[in-house]
Formats: sequence, C-alpha cells, structure tokens
Amino acid sequence: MRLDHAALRALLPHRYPMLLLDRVEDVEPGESLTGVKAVSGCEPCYRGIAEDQPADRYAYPASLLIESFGQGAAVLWLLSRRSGTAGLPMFTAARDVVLLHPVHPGDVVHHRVRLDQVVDGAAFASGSSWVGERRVAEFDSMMAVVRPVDAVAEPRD
Amino acid sequence: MTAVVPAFAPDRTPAQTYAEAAAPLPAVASVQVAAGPRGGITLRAETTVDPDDLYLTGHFPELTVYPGVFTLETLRQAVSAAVGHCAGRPPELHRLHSARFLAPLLAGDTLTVEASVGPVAQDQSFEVTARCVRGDGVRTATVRAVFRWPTDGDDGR
Repeated sequence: MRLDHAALRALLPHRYPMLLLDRVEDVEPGESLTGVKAVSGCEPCYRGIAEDQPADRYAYPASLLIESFGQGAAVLWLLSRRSGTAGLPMFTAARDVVLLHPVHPGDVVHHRVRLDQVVDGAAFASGSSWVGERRVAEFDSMMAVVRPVDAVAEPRD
Repeated sequence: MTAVVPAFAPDRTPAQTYAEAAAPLPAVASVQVAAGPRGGITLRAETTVDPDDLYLTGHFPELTVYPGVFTLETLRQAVSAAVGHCAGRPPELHRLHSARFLAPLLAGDTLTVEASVGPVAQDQSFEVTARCVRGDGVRTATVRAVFRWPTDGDDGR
C-alpha cells in the first residue's frame, strides 16, 4: 500500500511547515513502513541562516529529522488503530537515537520504520533513515501516545 | 530550582547561534554559563513558546504544543551558544541516549533548561545531561545526549 501526501494530511494533525513526511511508499499496517521526506532549501528552517555561511551549516536540523521519522512511526501506528480514536500524537520518549551523517537540501530521506510494540495505548517504534545507500540515522526506540486535545490543554492549578 | 550564578559569559549570543546554522526557530532567549565539575560547565537557558512562530502554527493548528523535538532544539542551541566552535564548526547532536517528555508546553509557557556539559573527550564529543522545567515548576523533559564537534573527516559537503 502506498500513501500520498493527501492521505498523510488526513491521518496526521501536523500542518505546514511541521508536516515532515511527503509520502509513504510501502506499509504493512501494524508491522512496518517506508516513509519519504524530500529535504528542500525552500524549507523555513533555512530562512534564518546568515549570508556566507559554509556548506556544513546547511545540514538539515537533527530535531526535524527525528520529528520526520517520528511522523512515519505515527502513521504506521494510526493505520493499525481502530478508527474513532482522534487526538494528538505526542512524542513521549526516545532511547539510543544516533545521527550518523548530515542530510542536506536536495537529499531524499527514506525512513524505514518498524512498529515493535503497543502497550496500554503507547506505541514503540524503531528503525533507520537512509539517503540512497547511506544510513544517516538509527532509532533504537521511539515511544508515542495519542492524547485528546482537551487532555493536552487541560487547565492547570 | 537551583539558580546558576554565571561564572563567565557564553561564547555567543542566542541570535548568533540561530543565524549560523539551519534551525526551525530561534529556540533560546537567554543562556547563562557557569563552571561545572571535572572541567565541564553548567548552563541555564530559557525560552517562551510563541504561538505565532511559523513552525508552531503547524504543531498544531487547533492547539499550540511545543514539540518534544523542539526541546531538543532548545538544548542544541543552548549548548552551541555556551561552548562555541571548535575548528570553525559548531557542535552537533550525535547521540540521544535517552529523552523523556513528561508534560506539554503550550502557548506562552516558559521553558527552562538546566544542563551539565562535558568534559570533552579525545574524539571531540561531550555528554550533556539536561533537566527541563515549565514556568509553573512542572518538569517537562529529561535528556541525556552526546554532542560533538565535527572533524574534517565528517562530511559537511
């Protein structure tokens, strides 16, 4: 099964410029997924760089690469959940994430995501990110939950 | 919360740090640095969640939630401002041993990051342990990570 960008927008609450997945090439619901993220110099994360910075400063931010992988994991999980469980996917924990090589504008990142476990409403995923034949990141464990909007925004004492 | 008394100034301002590399947002408003144990440093950084920030408008349109990965971005920018460059390169997040995101940060919330940094190993890497607290005193995240200054062998292209 393949998911285009419209299908991802229907599944995820994230919107521009925080929807960091372009399409899903293969998915076995509840099992595994390959998600695609094309990095562009047009993305707003490049708007604040001062002139005349060297090439290495254009490495795609690690924070956004991790989020992009996490959105792939969220899609995989949401596809395997029963419908009617709307809410916000919240990234709650990560263990042993390694950033091996920088990613630059023009690179197309493939996230290979596995859904390892779903326990008490929390999903655990793992996998790796690739640019061509080069592994650029490894994710030993990423954990997420889905929270209703009202629960996230509940008043504080 | 223990107040950090600055022993010396950070290497660069938050504005300089934001402008010298790709970043989704200016994720630090202020950084203070003090001497730490074993030749390392401690830092204290603050930011406020701005619902008008471009990336945050997409996370999420119905409710602004500071993403967990932006807490990592705040930590990266704070570390970079505190330690400065080595051989002309800012430090990069290399390994996330663990990250736990415990409570949400919403529009207008302040985030304070207190971190122990270093000492620096022979491969130009250093450990960072951070505790993140919301304005109301609630702990929002704990992070254990390795940052490193890239060397000439690392591909900045």
